[in-house]
Amino acid sequence: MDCKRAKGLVLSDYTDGVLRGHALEELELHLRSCSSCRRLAEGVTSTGELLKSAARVDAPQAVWNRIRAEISRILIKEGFVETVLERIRYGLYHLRPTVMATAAIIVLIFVLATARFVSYMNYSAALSVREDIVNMVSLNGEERGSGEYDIGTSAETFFL
Amino acid sequence: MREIAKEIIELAAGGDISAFEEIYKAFSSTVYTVALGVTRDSRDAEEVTQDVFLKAFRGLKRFKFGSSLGTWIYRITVNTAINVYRSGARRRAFGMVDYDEIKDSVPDLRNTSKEEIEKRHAAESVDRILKDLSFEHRSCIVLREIEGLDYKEMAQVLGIPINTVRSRLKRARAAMVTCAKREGLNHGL
Repeated sequence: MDCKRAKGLVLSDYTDGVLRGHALEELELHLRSCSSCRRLAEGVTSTGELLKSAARVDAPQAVWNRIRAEISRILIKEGFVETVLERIRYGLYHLRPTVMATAAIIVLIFVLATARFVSYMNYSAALSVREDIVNMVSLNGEERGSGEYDIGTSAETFFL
Repeated sequence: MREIAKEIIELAAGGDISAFEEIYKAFSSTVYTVALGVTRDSRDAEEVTQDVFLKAFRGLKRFKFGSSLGTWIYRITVNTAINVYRSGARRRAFGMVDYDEIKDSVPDLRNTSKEEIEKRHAAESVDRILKDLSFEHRSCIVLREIEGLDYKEMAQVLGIPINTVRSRLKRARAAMVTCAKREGLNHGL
């Protein structure tokens, strides 16, 4: 085994105890004969142990106090929202006849208003067509100057 | 990774603060240690710890029991620590850990014994080593060396393939040993 491969294994699988079988035997053989790789293995192990021994720290009590206070606020807020939703649900269930009657009246008013609006629009459109025809026929009569408009044509009689 | 009974998780998800406190007690040290290891700032670590548990409280209703609660909390912790570390909005200059703020967990030096002084020196060495590493390497080292996660767990927490974990860990350890050597540790190297 060459040093490059040995160092790669020392920095990962060997130190983490997941190297098995022939590869492990080969590496251990290499470490016995190569002081550079052996020192690396010792350095990785000792630094890892130093980190394990010194770095674990408990969170200060103040952190939990703040978390607890914030959770209480969240629960109060959720409780308020839940109460409002519950009231709406209660209202919809127990006041169902009133709610249905109100909804029916609103729908009826809407339908009547729509019908009246459509009727008005149709009437306006009819008036507009009538005015267009009058103008068209009058214009034809004046251009000709024949007095046909005054006499009355079949078209005038039909439309007007 | 420590696990919590399903009933406790369900109670906490339903808003039972005592049940949630059990989850906090089980994981707060882990979360704070990882946060401190990654951010190297005790105030940031406190902020991360607070954010992690509030996110966990809000997210417990959606927690799927198919995955481990510990892995889920680790993942939230690493992601939150990344955000806090990168935001830099509240972060001060990259200084030493403020030991006055964690005096509850570190012995008071006025009553020092030789063992405690050594412990303190070790903590300072660890601080300097971790501080010299890049953020990416630091996350790997904290999860593997301090928390003892295996490759699969690290892959789940970091959201990367196992082979990437392995190669990242190699680079992180190489950097760690170089830092230790610079700090005067591992004189034989």
